[in-house]
Amino acid sequence: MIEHWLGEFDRHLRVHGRRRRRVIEELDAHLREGAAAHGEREAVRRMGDARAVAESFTPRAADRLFEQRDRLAALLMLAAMAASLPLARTLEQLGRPGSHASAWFLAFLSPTASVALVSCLAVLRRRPVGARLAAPLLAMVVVTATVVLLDLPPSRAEFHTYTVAETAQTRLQCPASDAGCVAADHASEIRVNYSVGAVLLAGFYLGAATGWTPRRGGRRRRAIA
Amino acid sequence: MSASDLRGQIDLLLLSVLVAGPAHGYRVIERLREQSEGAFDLTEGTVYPALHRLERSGLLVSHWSDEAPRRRRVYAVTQTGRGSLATRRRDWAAFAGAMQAVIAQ
Repeated sequence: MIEHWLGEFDRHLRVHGRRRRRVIEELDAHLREGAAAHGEREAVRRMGDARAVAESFTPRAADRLFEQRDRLAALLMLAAMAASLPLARTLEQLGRPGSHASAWFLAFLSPTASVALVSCLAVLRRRPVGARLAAPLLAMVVVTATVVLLDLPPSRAEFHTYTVAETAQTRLQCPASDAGCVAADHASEIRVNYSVGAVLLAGFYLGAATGWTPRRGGRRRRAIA
Repeated sequence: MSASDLRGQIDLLLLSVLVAGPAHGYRVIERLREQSEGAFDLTEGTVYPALHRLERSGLLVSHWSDEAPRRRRVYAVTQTGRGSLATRRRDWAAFAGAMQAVIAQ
């Protein structure tokens, strides 16, 4: 009877690979335990219809996405970090010979980047430390973004170097333009976009990694009060 | 009480049972039945898919235990699962309070 139930279950199960083997092995062990305690018929009756149980193991696409949101957020964070590398390279190339502004700036960013990297890799491997690092990461990103937005050292020196280099380049290409203003605007855009973007991304990552969901009871409770 | 009556609350029940200590599926069902004094007698076909779904969501972890008399899959609540349980408990308390406020009139 158990063999028949498992055969039916196996036929309708839409799960593959290692997980499939595990599900079947687990239910097989459970059925045999139930049979030892209550008899095969009762064990199979309690398990329910094999086809319905098999179908309930198949997650819907939307559920699969929601269940993997922590990993998706980690991948998004890693992609954003990778996308920032060309900018870091550009800033380094624009630096004046002998100036350490870029090195200081990158050293300033590296603790936050390291924590983000460790946290994302841990979340991808579903290690608890990944979620635990998400809140400290958000705090570090907020501090870093504040320093960059307020143009404090070491961000100030780096963006000053960038503005000077871009001003010189723009004057060569377009002598009639107000190169200084264009470069300053461009530097300001980079500072604001990257800082605000990083804070928003770190906030989203914290929510996804810790499984936080918006509370839905607030409005209802206020209405009752 | 059937699984359809408990739709949407099975995750909360399973997390609440497992936060007391790791357990295999068979024991989870027993604990649910005992703690609810027989009211929640869920079938295995309801509990196992839910356990797997919670594990895929990172709220549970599991491993094979080879303790006698037979091999079993043991589930435990993760740190993320504890956070999720706290949120679900708050939501449930708010919901139950609101229901009570309405039906008690």
